[in-house]
Amino acid sequence: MPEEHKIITEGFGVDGLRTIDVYRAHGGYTAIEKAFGMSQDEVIDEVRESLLAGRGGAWFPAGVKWGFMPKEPREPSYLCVNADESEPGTFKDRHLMEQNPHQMLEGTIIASYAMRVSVAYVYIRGEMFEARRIVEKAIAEARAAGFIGRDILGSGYDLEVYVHPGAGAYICGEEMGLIQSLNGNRAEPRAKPPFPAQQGVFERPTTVNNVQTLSYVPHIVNRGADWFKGIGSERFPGTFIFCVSGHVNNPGMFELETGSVTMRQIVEDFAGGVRDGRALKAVIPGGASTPPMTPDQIDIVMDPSNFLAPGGGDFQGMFGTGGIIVMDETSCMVDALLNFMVFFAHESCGQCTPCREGCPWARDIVWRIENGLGKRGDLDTLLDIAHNVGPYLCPPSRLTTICGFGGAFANPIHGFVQTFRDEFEAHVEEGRYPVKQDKSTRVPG
Amino acid sequence: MAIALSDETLKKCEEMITHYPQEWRKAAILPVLHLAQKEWGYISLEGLRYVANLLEIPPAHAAGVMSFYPMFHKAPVGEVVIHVCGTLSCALCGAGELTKHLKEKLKIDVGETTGDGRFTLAKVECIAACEGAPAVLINEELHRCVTREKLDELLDRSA
Ligand SMILES: Cc1cc2nc3c(=O)[nH]c(=O)nc-3n(C[C@H](O)[C@H](O)[C@H](O)COP(=O)(O)O)c2cc1C
Ligand code: SF4
Ligand code: FES
Repeated sequence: MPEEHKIITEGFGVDGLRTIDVYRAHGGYTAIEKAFGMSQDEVIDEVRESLLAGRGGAWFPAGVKWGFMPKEPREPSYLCVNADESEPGTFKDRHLMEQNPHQMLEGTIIASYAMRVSVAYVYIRGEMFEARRIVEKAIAEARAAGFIGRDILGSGYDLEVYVHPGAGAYICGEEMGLIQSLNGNRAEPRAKPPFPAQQGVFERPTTVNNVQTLSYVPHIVNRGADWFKGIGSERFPGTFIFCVSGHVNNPGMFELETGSVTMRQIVEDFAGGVRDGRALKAVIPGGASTPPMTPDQIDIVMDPSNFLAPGGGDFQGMFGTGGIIVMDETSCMVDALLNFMVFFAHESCGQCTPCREGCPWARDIVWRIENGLGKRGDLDTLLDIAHNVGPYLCPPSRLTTICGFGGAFANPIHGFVQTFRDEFEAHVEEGRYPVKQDKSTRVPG
Repeated sequence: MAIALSDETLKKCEEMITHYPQEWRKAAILPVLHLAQKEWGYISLEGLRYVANLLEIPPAHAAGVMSFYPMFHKAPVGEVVIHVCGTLSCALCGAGELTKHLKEKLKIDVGETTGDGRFTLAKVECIAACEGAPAVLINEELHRCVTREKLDELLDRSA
């Protein structure tokens, strides 16, 4: 059985790791000194060569993104750390912040230096009270130690880092939504271009990076691009944190090399398999926005390049955020989709008609089907609503919405209805499908 | 008496405002609303006007922002706000049972507050604690793997 390869989760559970002293005893803040001995462009080149890709879901190469920022800024520019983690099934960023906040901060400081930004904002989800307290404390410690503030380590470089709390809206995780929210507006994403590197926070050049992406940076600076490139798959090297929840014996986080394990191994070996000896019915591979997989599809090797999105792979699905949700044979697929549609209908920002109207419309249809009131033609209407926003998985892509939320709600509709059409039809025909559901509370372990 | 923030909270707000460029005071609206809500318990129309003044923005803008974010209350809530996560991982692991139990125990529906002003029951979407499903947020404290018994104990403790 393959083993975990712990880079960014190394030391989790060590007493006091979240304090600066213990972090430094574990080699923390050495990368910062190394980075400040390099030129800014050398740091960007190192990260570009490492092929580190964004772990927020889109897998865009971090070094390339950093290279879009102005080399000789004539006005202040900004880095936003995306700590809004709210994709259902995903809980890695919370642990990265709560267990090792300095690792993320060190990555943030190095990234800020490389991009010549003057302020970094850590945009933390409003409901993550604990993470916010821990990160604020870590910032204070790093400032006291001279890693944040004026003339850091005598380099002449000045940087401030602040926490900015969100207030409970999923769309603040989308980069333009986050920027709007930080600007003191409703988190209504705007169309691109202009891209954030041209016009972002306070209308100035901005880069948004995910917590996990930045947590790798100190390690890459310390050990070099070649070391990182040598881990995991060729196109998307490194590790990835898979978060497993739902009907498994051992829910939790597993840091695994990309391209090293199958989905089946993650579910059965790492997460301990389906609980109570029941049969597996479906697996959501990477958050609510990714279509479900069936048991016969989970021998796929978990590398983004094997999935249509982001890698253009053969499997007509999405890799997503690593939020794996496991459902056993007692789960009803109509009910599962209804759960997601309630979520999406609640979270649409409301600017684009196909999204604002489509989400509640689809939710209501799925509710009808689940409650025995479905009509013939409902399934086609559902697919039509989904396809109208042009999700990635059913070309031609129409892209009728401003932001990726459109595809995010359309993909599960497309996936659930397509993959479990029989079950949806049985609901419509028989009034309700005879799945004997089990929704009792059972604490693992 | 007109509504106002205590000197201590006001000082915290002013400190927050320094985190943003001078001409972008409005960027502080979320942290300031959080601080104000902590003091007042909720944000009344009058309170909103006060915050708008502080940030030098039109009250209508402040209202537009506040109404976008579910964490801000425009009416009083209970001393103990119980948010049960209802998203898929938690739903699969018994969040529905917990909600039902709470509704019966507190004799209120989701979104309501008990007559004595002690408890508010609310739903929240995935709070990034799915490995500990079902997850419940009680005021600012996160609880994982919550059962009926554990919930009863937690509520008795905060009562
Ligand atoms: C609807 C939607 C929600 C998103 N939510 C998050 C989120 O909660 N956290 C996150 O890091 N990225 C999220 N993203 C991705 C961001 O837009 C952005 O791509 C990412 O933060 C960039 O960082 P990275 O390049 O380091 O991955 C979301 C995207 C969309 C379309
Ligand atoms: S797609 Fe939906 S969430 Fe995105 S901007 Fe349009 S309405 Fe808002
Ligand atoms: S689904 Fe409840 S915490 Fe994620």
